[in-house]
Amino acid sequence: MHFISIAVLMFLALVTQHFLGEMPGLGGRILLMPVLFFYGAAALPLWGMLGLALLAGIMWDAVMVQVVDGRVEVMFGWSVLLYAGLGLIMNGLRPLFLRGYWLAHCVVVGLLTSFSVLVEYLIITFRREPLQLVFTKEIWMRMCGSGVAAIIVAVPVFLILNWIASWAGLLKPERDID
Amino acid sequence: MNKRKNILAIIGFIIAAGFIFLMSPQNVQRVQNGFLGLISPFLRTGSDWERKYKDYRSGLKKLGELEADVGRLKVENDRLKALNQALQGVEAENIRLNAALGFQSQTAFSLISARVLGRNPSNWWSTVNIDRGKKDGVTTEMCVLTPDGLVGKIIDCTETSSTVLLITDENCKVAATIEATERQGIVRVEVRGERGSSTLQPRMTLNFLSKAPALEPGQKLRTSGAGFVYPAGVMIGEVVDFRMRELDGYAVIQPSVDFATLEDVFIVTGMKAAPVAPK
Repeated sequence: MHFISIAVLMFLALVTQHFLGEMPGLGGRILLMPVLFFYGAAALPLWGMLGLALLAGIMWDAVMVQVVDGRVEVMFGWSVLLYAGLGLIMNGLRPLFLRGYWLAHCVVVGLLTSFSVLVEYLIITFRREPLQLVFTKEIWMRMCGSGVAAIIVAVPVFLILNWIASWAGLLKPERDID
Repeated sequence: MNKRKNILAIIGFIIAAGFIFLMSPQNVQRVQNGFLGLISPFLRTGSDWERKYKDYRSGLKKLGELEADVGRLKVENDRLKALNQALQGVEAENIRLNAALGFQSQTAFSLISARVLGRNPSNWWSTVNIDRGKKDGVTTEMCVLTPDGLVGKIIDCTETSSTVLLITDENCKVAATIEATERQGIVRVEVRGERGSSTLQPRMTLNFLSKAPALEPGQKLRTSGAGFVYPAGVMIGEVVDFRMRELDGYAVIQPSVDFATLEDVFIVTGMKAAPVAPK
């Protein structure tokens, strides 16, 4: 039930993202779906995190990956690996999360979101010609902006979802710790 | 029990990931079409709400501002009417000259209007979703434009919606010609420093130009029609700067379309039949 509800919220977050612009003053896009995914990675056990990583990666690539002139530019499914890797880090911090210390996780969400934007940039840079790693101020702003936006969004998201999960009896620290 | 569940989950994940990586481009496009079809009703609803909110906000304008807007729009309407009449005259002359040369004339395009539902939520790709799809006669590789100029091309479509690759995306290359000259080149978003451009209006470059003569700022750029994706004569932008490299020159182009406020576009579905030239 917890898994399905987070999966649905991730889908709605991805739709909502289409109507959100850039972080004012910083330039990075406000990425909602990764925030929901990282919440799920912290709240669910390993099997749940992997399931969410699969869903998140497929949904993200379905929206982002371009098939131009019959050619797939960036391999479809790379986001699955990315989310799984980042989700493992978040899942490793799960015991702390279940004990109620989730503010630190909000900061980690921001760092992991910035990292995912950096990985995206590196992949398309290596894929496209000419091979040039350009790190201008604007590129750093894009990465950091998305991270800062993720932290700001993560606090109310974690607060609300934690409250709902606790009220519904979905988060039981003593039983859920592996 | 938990350990067994986790092991099974890891094995299942590896199998699923392997299956996804082995998908062919055709299957990738099928998955994308399916997902786009799934989210398009939500995008439409969200787009409707966004429009209602924008209309509500704009309705809060003061009366004086509204009167000023009406006055300005009347002037703009008169200007456009005059321009339209002038263009009709130019079109008629073009038909006559082309008929005289024995060429088939390309006059107006067959267009269908479309509304932008939402913009790709990514930092590095530039695509938008529109509310027209296969049931409206839309197919991939169709050109998309506005009265201001070229927007991009369709790269994916479902029954009710489509994805447009904007010319501001690096993957989009357009064959272009400088107005009133015979100089041609390829327009694309320049890599150096522009991939991370925080604006929705990145500068584009026109490459593979001869070194001389140098282009002047303000010269207009139109599609050349080469490649058969973008019809000839569509406005792309104007030259902002011209720079030399070792072997060639390149021009920095400002696109004519304001991609930050893109709401309504037109899809070119074909060309109207050329009218018979007057004797």
